[in-house]
Amino acid sequence: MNNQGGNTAQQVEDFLSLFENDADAAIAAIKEQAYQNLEPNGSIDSAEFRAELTAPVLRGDAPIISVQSVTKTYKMGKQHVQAINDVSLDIYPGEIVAIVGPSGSGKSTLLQILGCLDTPSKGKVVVDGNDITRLGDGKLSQLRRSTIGFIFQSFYLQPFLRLGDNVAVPAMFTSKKRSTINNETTELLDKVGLLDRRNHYPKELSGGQIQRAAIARALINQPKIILADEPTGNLDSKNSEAIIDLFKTIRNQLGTTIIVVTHNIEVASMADRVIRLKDGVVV
Amino acid sequence: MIRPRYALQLARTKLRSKRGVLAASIIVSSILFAALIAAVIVFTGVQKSAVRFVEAANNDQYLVSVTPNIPHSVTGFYGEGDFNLSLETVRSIRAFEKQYYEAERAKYAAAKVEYDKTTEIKALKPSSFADPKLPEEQRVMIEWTSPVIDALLEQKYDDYAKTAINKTEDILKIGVKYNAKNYYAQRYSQLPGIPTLRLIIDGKENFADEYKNEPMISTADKNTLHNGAYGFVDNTLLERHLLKTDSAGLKGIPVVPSAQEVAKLFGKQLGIPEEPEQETDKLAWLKSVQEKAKGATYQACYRNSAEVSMLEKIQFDYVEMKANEGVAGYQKPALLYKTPETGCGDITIASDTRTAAEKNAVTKSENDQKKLGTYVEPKHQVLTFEIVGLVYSQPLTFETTNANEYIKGLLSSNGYMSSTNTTASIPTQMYETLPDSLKFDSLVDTKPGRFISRSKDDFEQRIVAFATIDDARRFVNEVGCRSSSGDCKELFYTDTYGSNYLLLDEIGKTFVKVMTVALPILLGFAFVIIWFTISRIMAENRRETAVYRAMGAKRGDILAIYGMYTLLLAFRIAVVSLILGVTAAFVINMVYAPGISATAASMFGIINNAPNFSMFDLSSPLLLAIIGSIFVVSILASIQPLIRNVLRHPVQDMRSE
Repeated sequence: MNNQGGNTAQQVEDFLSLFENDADAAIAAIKEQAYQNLEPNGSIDSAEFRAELTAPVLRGDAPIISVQSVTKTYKMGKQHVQAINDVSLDIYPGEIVAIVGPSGSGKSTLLQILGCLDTPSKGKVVVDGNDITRLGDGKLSQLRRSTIGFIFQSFYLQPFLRLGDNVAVPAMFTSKKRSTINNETTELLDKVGLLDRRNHYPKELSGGQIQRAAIARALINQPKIILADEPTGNLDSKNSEAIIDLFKTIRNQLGTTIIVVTHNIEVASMADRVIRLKDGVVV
Repeated sequence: MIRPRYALQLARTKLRSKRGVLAASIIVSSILFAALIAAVIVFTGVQKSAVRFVEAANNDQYLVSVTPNIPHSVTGFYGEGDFNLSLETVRSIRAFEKQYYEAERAKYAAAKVEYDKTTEIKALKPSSFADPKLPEEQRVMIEWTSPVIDALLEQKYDDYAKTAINKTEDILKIGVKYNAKNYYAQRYSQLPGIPTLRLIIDGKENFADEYKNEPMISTADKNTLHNGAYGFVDNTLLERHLLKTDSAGLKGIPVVPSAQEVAKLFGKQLGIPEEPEQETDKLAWLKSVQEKAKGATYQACYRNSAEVSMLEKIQFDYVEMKANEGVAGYQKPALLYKTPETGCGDITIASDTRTAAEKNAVTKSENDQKKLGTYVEPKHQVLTFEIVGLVYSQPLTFETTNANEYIKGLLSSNGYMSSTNTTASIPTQMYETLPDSLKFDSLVDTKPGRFISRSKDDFEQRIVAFATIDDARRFVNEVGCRSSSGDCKELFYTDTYGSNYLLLDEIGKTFVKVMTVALPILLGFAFVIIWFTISRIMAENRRETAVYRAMGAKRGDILAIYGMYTLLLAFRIAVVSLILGVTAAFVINMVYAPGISATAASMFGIINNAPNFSMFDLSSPLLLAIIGSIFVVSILASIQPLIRNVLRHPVQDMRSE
């Protein structure tokens, strides 16, 4: 873990200067070395790791997510495909965790299980004290609604809702009062710097603004966990940087646990911990 | 659970996506429902308007014409035909004939008049159509000109009348059981028609029309006065056609002819223009005929049978002389009469070259007739008629070639209107107030045809009035058969009278039946369209649904959003359907109602203060049923795709992310 607690942006800036600010050359070099330079062992000793967490990370004894020997098998036609195999890991409150790995390595499946959208074929997953393998659809929905915020690569803002309403959508599934939802929406849009765009439709915003709005939407129900699937996948480097900064701010200010599936090295490098998956197993 | 306002807010976003599919779906479904809605609005309007006309025409009564059904076996030799008589019938006729002529001979003997056997007309004559295998005695046919047959039928009728249970008095007894309110008489007058009664036009009788008894059916509306065909009709039944109801000051026999015939016969004299072609112009024309014909009088000449015979002789002699003009040795008739030169003038002798013996023979014959009581003195008299009302003659079309004719047929009054097509009506009560000098009762010396004579007596037609259409229907259906039915076994003929109210009512009921079939079919089409639309919208929004589920939406929340979407879709279909349907009905009403109003007013004879005939009526509960069914169908159509959608695992739709 070569960047724990450090200033990622500064490091990237320093790194780029080695290539006379030629970003393409720098990226090529990163791709070459990236995963070797990152955390070599995805199976982290939790106790050791916790000791290294920076200030905003809540140092509780209990992980907010505990994955124990989880296997997920899909049936595709007549074949059974093992998406993840015997994965175990703990994620602690306030931690920023990056899940990396090549396509088909099981990242998204793991994220869906962590997000209570899917249940494991084998093993046990405990999210915020709830064994999701024992919960029905209703309880799982409730858990997602109250504990988890999702951020998607394609943002998925409703094109025919104004920004304010888009941010409020997850709150519409709760019993919150309208005034409360309005206040929270205002606060979050302010936080992500989009308050002046509240009445705009998504098509009137840039990609970076849309993703910031999507992040605000993920935060509307004050979730303990944010799950982001390739959050910078459709953004340029400048906007990606802004998103990374926003994640850090969220974690630092709200103590939210952030789990990011990414191919983006910058995103991965800002994480407290990187979990590397290959062929469904943590490597 | 998501709140309704949020479900509505999210559902509305679906209406803004895939607008092409949505618009096509809404338009196609709406056109189906709009057609139904328009049909209901138009039909309800037509039905209610027709009922208004029926009620106005019949003074809020439902009238049934009841005519005793005298079996054909009484009025003729039904079942056997003229030349297919059974041996038993032949023998019974021969026996009756023998008795008849024996009685005749006795009568002559009593009057001391010589009986001439050669004047007898046998009741039966040889038939060349009879089956040659039959015995010769049976190979005969009826000679309808024989007085024996008249007398025989008269006797059959008298025998039947002794035990009949379908006399006029029986109609009244039966009517009570069906809550009949009133009874009105309608009967033929005793006035014989042309040539006994001939119109005087421009001060002359038109003898060229001697044998031109115009057809009664195809052009009946124009020939009742010409043909001298009059019938008595109760004042109440004619009320809406009467231009005057006060009998005081009547200048002649009150009569209600058809406007068309008045225009044809007296148009020039009264300044009546020709009947316009356009339905919408007819009411104005009828009003002008009313104004000009009210109180107008005309005259007809009544000539008794003796004078008619003299006129026939003139005609016959004229034809014969014309045919033999220039023929060597032809001798013109010894006695020639002269056609009267003034209206209802005397028939004078033009030339008389008869020998004394011939004259004596005539005198002897007249004396004999006087002794027998059969002599008729030549007699003529002018009858004055006053037009006290007008009817609009019904077109007698048997085939409808366009919608207008169909509607006319539907709206056309029947019963007395059909009788007024063949007779001009004389309001009975008004006639009865006339002084004897204006009446024709004492004039009539000719014996009307046997059927007329009978109907005048015990078997007179009655018009029975009911307060409700249901009572009228029960009476019509249970008491008799329709006059159009071929072989009636019932005691009476019963027909709706004054209007086709039962037919209109039946059409109304049939429409409801048709709708109960058409509605499910159209609902089926709509179901498929709405199902397709909702399925497609849901399929295209699966990713979004999965995103909502990721955000914590329960299945119930998704159901609520799409349920709301379904209701919004149904609402739009309902609104568009209503707009299209109401607009279509409105346009139909605008285009057709004025013409039909005029047609109905003239058909029902309600020329003044006619009810408005509207083809636009929104009061039918069927409209609510259709709108309700749009929502029901939409909800039903959404169930399957909705359930399929919410049961999908969100991961399935997220995986492609």
